[in-house]
Amino acid sequence: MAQQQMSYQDWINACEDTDGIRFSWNVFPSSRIEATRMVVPVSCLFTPLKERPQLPPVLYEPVTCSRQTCRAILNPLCHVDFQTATPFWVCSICSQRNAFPRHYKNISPQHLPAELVPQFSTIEYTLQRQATVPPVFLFVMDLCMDEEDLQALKESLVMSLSLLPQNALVGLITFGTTVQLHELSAQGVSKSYVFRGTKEITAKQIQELLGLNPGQAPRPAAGGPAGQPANGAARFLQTVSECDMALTEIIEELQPDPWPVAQGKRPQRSTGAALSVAVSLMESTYPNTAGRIMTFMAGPPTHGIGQVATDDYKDTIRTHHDIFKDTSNAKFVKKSSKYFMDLAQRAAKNGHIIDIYACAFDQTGLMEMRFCTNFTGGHMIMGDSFNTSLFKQTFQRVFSKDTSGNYNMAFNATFEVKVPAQLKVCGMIGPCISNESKNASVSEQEIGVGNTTAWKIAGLDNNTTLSVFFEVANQPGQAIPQGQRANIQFITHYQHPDGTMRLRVTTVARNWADVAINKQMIAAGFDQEASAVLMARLAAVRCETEDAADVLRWIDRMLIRLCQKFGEYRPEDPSSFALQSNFTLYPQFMFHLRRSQFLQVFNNSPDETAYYRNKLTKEDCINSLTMIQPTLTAYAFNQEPEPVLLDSSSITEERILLLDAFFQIVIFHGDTIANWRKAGFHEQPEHEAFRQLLKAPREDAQEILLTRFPMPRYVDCDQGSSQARFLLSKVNPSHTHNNMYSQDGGAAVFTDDVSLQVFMEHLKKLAVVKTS
Amino acid sequence: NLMADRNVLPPKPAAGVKPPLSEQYERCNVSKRIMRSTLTAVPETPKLLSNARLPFALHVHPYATDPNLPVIDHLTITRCKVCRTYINPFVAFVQGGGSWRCNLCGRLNPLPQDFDYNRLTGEMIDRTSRPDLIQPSVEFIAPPEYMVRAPQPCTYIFLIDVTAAAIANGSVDLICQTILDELDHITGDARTRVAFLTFDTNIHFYNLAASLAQPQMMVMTDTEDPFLPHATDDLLVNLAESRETLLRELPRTVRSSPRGQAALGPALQAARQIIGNVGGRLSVFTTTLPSIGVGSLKMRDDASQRSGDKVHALLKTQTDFYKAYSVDASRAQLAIDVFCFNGDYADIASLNDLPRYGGGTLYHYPGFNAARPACQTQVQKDLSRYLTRPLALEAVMRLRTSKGVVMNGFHGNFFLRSQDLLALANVSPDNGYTVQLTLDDKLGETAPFVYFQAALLYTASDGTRRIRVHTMALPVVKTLHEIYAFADAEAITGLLAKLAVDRTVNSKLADARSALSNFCIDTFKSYRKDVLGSEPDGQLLTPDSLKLLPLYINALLKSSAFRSDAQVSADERAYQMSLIKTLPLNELMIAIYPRFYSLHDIAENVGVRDSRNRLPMPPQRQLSAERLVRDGIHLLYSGDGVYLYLGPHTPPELMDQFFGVQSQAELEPEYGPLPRCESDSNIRMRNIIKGLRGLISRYQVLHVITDRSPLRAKFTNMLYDDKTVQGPSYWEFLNVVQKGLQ
Ligand SMILES: [Zn+2]
Ligand SMILES: [Zn+2]
Repeated sequence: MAQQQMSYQDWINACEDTDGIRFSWNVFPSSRIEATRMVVPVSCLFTPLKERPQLPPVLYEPVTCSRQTCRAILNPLCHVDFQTATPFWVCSICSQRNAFPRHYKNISPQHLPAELVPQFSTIEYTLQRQATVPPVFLFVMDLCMDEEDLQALKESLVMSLSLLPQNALVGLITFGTTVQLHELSAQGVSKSYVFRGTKEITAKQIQELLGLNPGQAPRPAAGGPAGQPANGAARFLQTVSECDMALTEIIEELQPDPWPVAQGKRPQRSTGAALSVAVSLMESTYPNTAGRIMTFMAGPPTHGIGQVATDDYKDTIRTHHDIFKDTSNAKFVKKSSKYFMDLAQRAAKNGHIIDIYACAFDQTGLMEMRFCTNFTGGHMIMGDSFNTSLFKQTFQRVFSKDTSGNYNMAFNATFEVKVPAQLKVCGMIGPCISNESKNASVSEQEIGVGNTTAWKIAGLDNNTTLSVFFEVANQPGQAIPQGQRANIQFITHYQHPDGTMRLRVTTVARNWADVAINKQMIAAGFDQEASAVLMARLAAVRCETEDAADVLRWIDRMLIRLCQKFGEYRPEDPSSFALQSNFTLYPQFMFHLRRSQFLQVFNNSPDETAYYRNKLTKEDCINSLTMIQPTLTAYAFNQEPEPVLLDSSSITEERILLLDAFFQIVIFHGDTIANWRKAGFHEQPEHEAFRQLLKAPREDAQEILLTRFPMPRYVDCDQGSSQARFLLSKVNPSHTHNNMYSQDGGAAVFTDDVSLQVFMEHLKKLAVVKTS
Repeated sequence: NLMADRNVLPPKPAAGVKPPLSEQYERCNVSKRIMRSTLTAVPETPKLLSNARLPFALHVHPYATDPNLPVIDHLTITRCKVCRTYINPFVAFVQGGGSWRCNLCGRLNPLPQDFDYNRLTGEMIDRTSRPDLIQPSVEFIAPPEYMVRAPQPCTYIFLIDVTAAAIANGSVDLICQTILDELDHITGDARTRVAFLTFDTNIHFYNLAASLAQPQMMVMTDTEDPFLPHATDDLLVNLAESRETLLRELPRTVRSSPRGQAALGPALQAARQIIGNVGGRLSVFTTTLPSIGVGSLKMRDDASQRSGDKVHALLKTQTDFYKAYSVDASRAQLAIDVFCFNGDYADIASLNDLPRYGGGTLYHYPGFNAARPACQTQVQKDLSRYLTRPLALEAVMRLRTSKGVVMNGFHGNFFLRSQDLLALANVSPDNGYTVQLTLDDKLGETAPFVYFQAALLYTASDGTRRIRVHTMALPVVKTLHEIYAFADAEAITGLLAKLAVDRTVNSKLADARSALSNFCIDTFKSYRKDVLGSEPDGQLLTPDSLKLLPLYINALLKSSAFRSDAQVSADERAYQMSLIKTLPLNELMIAIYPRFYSLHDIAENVGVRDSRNRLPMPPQRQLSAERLVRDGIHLLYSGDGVYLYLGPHTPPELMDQFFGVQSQAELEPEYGPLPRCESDSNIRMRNIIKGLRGLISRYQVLHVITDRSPLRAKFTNMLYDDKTVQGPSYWEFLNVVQKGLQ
């Protein structure tokens, strides 16, 4: 078997490369009861559209299992019988015998169609049916901002017109005290439709009010064919090539919201109504078609429906504390969240993405609005100002193309999971809504978005990584036949940015093992990185409904139970405790997860929390891990840069450290280095080596900055400076002002947090306690 | 004796009655164009007035154009301490000229210290050169104490119907083009501000901010609850260059997505929000009967409702909205003018509430179609005049009278703020007002005169606050004979017409009609009984001053306002009635009894300006077919058109002389401009028509009436002295009156 020739970790990485998948456990326990005792659920991180340039183009329709309740797609794991007169295949999911379609009659073991070639466990069909409508990009633009920011935003939008696919449809909605939907065709007099910020605008109203004839806008059920453009839609949505002149002119003419804002007041921002116009317009013109509502806002909704804050600066925007204590500052939270949730649900149902670009120094209501992005796979971007490279670069990166010249965006997807009878699907964590596909594979236990085996994902990209949770349904008595494996198939139907409809199929298999007999085999299949990310996502989802303190306790409990189950120890002897190598990092991940922004919310605003969690639930394994436990690289004279412990002991005076916390990149100069730099040594020719030393981490940081989406905050600081807190808050406080634990120097961190060492001691103590 | 000769009309139209006043008084008295009393000799006692059976009323035309009006800003405004009367030529100086006695209330007032000095230069002024002491009509530039707030700039909102019908009939193009053409001449100054709103099913706002490269149209679909989509400063902008783009592009912009229904009421609400309390003028152009939101109107005119007792129902408004709106607008110093281009039914009766309470005006162009040159010219001329004529803003008019005279009724478009104070958000030179008077006490206690003073306080388009003061003196008389001798038949007719409108709306048409005919009978009966004593049979003796009364009343009874048959549409009747209520008396009289001339036989000097720049007119004739000559050319000028009637046998020479053509067939039945040629007759004819058109502010379209003409029946109907389907001939009417006297 493959994994015998390489290390387990290599095999895991190879699976991730070919199939974009990482399971928490790579060997499944064969009984339900055992599975529940594994602590980390059987689950996977799956990147459905992982970039696979080597995949052959498959320009025919897939062959599906004839069993109505299955409909799995022919794949390399299917047994094909060439012995009989007419070959048949056995479904790898349900074991149904299926005849091949007539045009497969010439296949043979030497002459296999691509979908049966073992190396194509992931394959992508380009379907015959093309999208009838190119993707729609609808800008929804806040006008309540200062001239400088508005100018920057205008420039970015105008620039984006040249980056968009030229056949894409674009439209513009602006808002402030009122909402304006701009017509794109008028010359001489530009024309827009105005809506009040206090009223929700339904799709029906949009149709009636704008004279769009609802009779001409077919409303196919979700998953059905793309809708035809409704009568009159062309006034508001036109192809880039047709309207870029007119739209550029309209955008350039935009002025800050004209309504006066009194001293001490926030501008009246009708974000809720604006999004309702956007969603309704899209819903009534291009339902169930590729579409992106790109929202740009410079502050919180303060007016009308979806209001997050009052228009008075005296009423500060809700904090976690406010929400926790339900103070008057939090009075809008429930209503506003409900409003945006319903709106997001509608958009998602129609396959429309909502992006939010929020640029302001204060909070903007991302917490309440998070559903818009989280249900639709939209981008949630948080910055200080539109006039920053963070926004400009990030926005530009939205339109970046992959190696084959395709936009890195996919639209209006449905994602389906097929499992054998021994497995059930609990649910999914990811940017989706349920497609309400209920069948025998649905588990009663719901995790994330459950009660279905299919989901609607309005927007995803090459990197979007979903978490799917399974339940082992097999009862202890029912033996799984020898050699039978757990075959799982993932089917992603989506609109490719080139306008074709694609079907990506990934079929994987994992072995079953009886824990009672083969515990070691199961343990060996543990993927601690994937598991850490999966548990972090579960924790984040729990935080939506539970108190953070309870979630922390849950994490502790789960960790202790995992250590109890898989650690080697003598009961009641902490010093005897040991973990096998593929478990050793896991407690550390949990330690950092406990300290992370995902769970320690009181240091952050609710908006930041929403933002961080949004990214955590859709990034791939490594990025997610970086968010949980940042990487730290040290640079010093006469040695190669090396990864060092995320620990205060790594801070020395003669080192430069590069911290990648995903959301922040920090370059940290030790005292000595900082002093030399201040003295300008790097500018002197005789100190070329110093110059090179300074340059190295900067270049590495640059590399990350160039590719990371969204662009991280970049901090360049010296030991002892106030900016250094960005690093100090992340490292393990092994050496603090009240704890002289560390032996080998390092810098003291002012914190009352326990260090990893203390944490581990406690863990060992608790793990070895005898349970009755 | 009216029965003796049916030809009672004098060759020259009456310009009012000269009251029995000394020459000096008469010289100082206000012009008849500005103030005209039904009785130029006023009865001394209430009893005498009631015995005379004549109405007492004053027609006031306070803002009539007057090039010779003295404008005073160098004199201290001097007013009676008690009754606030402005000093005027009829006051008396006493105590060596140090005090003056108010001619209205009789109180003695000290003169202000600086009375004899030029306020600006400090120089001494001779009282005989003070305009306010020698002229009846003067205008003061008001000092700050006459201002409740800083005078507002001229502020105009144009509210234009752009429904599919309005685009189709060409009104949108024509309105835009005309405003565009007059952009440099629109009344106002550098501060003049303007806003445009259009409406169909939706309301369209226009952002005209100077910083924009092009205007922005903002469509509001929320007609239930319209709101301002943008800050007022960009919607209501200084009238300058950038408005041109909008006017040029508007027709094309609205044509791109025509809608059928009109949201007039919501659009009005939107306009009201833009104007706030600044006030100004709102010009409403409608083509489609409003059917969306507040102020929606239903088509309700059909022939079965047009006659008998049902008529007045169609003259009542369908909704309270327009009245409430107009009253509210008037409080905010906003006046509304309405231009109706409806092809079918406009519901003038309802829409007329809009101009009513703010001093506005209603224009009605039924069946308007810009493709027809006459239609186009008419609207273009009316609109041009409307845009450029003088305009008084945020005005009030107070009428003061001598003790014993009481005001008890008003006619015209205004809001009555108190007993004697008319609030007029706008005053135009084209609107007149009428005040009904009565006596509650013996007159002439202090002097054998009664005095009237009308003071119009307003903001002029140049931003100055002004007071225009008109003072009139009338003699007090003690006998019925004198009262009758100096009664003004035209002023009386004008008042009777206004009263008949009120009676039709509030009661019914039949009542109004009988009141009109009974008036002649009552008055002449009283005259016979109290002045003549007896009258021989077969005669109808009237005071000379009232001999035209039956002629006028017979015409009124046959006019489209008061005729009782079903031929008149509800809109036409309502429109005529609105004109009766608002036109200045001289214009109203032309509408009541059109001017009628023959042109083929004019004297040599007629139609040519003389050395004093006066234009001699042909003798006017009574409205009878008897006056038509089969081979002649006749001119009828009615207030709703210029009708050139060509007899069926008009010889080619005459056609050539007048029109430069050989036969009638070469003439179009309907003309914008008059056919021009350089013949003497043509020039004189054109001069005559031009002179006539100068009498009326609204442009009169020229119609050529021949045997083939579709308007021939309309022309014939205006020959009021003849018996027609609408009613009896003048002669028959006289017989009815005479019978009534028995
Ligand atoms: Zn199957
Ligand atoms: Zn007085």
